[in-house]
Amino acid sequence: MQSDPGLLAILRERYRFAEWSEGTGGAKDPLRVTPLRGTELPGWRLERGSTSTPRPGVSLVRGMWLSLAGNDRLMDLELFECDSASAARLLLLELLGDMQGPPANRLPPDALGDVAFNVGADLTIMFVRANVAVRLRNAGRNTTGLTAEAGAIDALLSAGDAAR
Amino acid sequence: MSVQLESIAFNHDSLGHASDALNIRRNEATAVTVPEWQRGVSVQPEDSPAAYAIAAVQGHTPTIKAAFRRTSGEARCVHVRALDVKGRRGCLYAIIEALGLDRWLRPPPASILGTVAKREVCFDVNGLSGPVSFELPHHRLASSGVARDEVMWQWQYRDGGGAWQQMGFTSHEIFAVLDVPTAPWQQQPSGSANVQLPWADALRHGCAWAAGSQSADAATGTVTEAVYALGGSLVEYDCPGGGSSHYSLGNFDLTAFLDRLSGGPGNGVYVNCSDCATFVSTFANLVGGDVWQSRMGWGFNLNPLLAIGSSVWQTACNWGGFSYHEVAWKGACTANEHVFDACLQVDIDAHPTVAPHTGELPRNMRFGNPGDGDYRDRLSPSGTCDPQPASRQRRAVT
Repeated sequence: MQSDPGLLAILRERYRFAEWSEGTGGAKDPLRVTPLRGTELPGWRLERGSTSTPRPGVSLVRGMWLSLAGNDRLMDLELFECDSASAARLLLLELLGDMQGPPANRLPPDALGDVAFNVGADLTIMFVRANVAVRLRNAGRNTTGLTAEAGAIDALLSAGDAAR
Repeated sequence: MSVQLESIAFNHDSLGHASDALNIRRNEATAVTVPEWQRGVSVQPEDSPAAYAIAAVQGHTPTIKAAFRRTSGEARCVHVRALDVKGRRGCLYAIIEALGLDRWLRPPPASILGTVAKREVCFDVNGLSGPVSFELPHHRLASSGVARDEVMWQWQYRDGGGAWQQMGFTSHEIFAVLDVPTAPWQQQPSGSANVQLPWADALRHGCAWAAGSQSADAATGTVTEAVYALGGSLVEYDCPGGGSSHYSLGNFDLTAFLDRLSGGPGNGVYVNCSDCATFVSTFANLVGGDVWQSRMGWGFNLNPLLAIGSSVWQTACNWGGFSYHEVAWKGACTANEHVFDACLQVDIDAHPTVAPHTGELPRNMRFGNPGDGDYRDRLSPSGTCDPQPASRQRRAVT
């Protein structure tokens, strides 16, 4: 996962990356993302989990979650652990550039994580907390807003429960 | 006197593929061990998979290596052969032929590997033969095109001029691909740690999708059709997520895609263009194609199109445009090369911007320059839709 330099230049401008490219945290006491246990999200069951290294310096913990409400809702949660907060923000920019469609919306500064974006009515949410970039997406046809789930993951990251 | 079959190796030379099978593995987690068939271990055809590169075996006679054990008796040597169960016509078919009914009632074709030619097998003082090379002189690899076949052999031996004695049946899952798979697939190193060796679990789908194809373009085209046909039931274009990739961010999560194809959740129902380009390229290159995943961009308007899993002609989720698009692309991935796009149908009539639409799935369609009437004009009326050959890649499989 390495964005084309030409596309990256356009993304920097489109998302005013200079305004949020520099993060704090992660350098001295970085968050460490651990494999999913299945207990992170009440109301959801972990269907399949995986860990991988999409590129040097980035570890990905991913899980597909099925809603226990019996409505066939499927959610894709990705936690990208990066070397630094700045690296996590650059990765967030790349996740924004992964979309073929219109630009995502930046959320207010205190809404979620250190910097956050959404698509539609929170059908997709992306944010950075310290050196971890997070993406939550609907993965089933019965879609739902993922505001509460994103908040729960951010709380776990902040408390160090999903990351050590 | 009795003899039993101990093992059969199809890939008995990991450095070559002119007279034996390719180096393959089952999937990311599991290697294929050689010999592929082992007494007491292999039961179903899937337990004993092997793949052949048609171009590589052209002009050669493929061989297998089988090992035997003498379980009783004193004979130092016997003759061994294996009949092709599919290719045997039997008494019933002789009657059908005699009645002139064979014009309507045809037997199934012989298996792709045919019979195992007779040869002498000798035993050491312990009653073991060690691996013995057998020729497959009646194989159909030259004419089969891309194929998957279940081969069943009836093994027999005889001592001197005696009658043939039964040794039992073995069954094998055999894949035929046009040529040695191209990147991301590898043949070396051949060890079990190399997950880029062709996967039998992927060959099963790739050979079904491209069945009968005799050329790389034909195989890539039929794989493109098959991927697009997954739309509606298994996958659809990612409108809720803004058109982001679900299977191809970085590497190709082939394990998840195979899970999806098998009825599991995989990485979910949604895909984007990068996913589709990766599906096409990876499976086409597995069966004899040679295409890249490459992009165009960066920011262009769209003509109405029929996205994968959709029945409505619109500009992709009604967005009006794409920031980029990615397809399976031949050669240098420039305007002069041809593309395969399993993500969408374009309108190929004289007026692609308006209804009525004449849909076509781009298969081996020249990308072209503005005004040429090729893929580019069909996809986009305006904006920056230039080939970006620096983006071309073949994502590794995981």
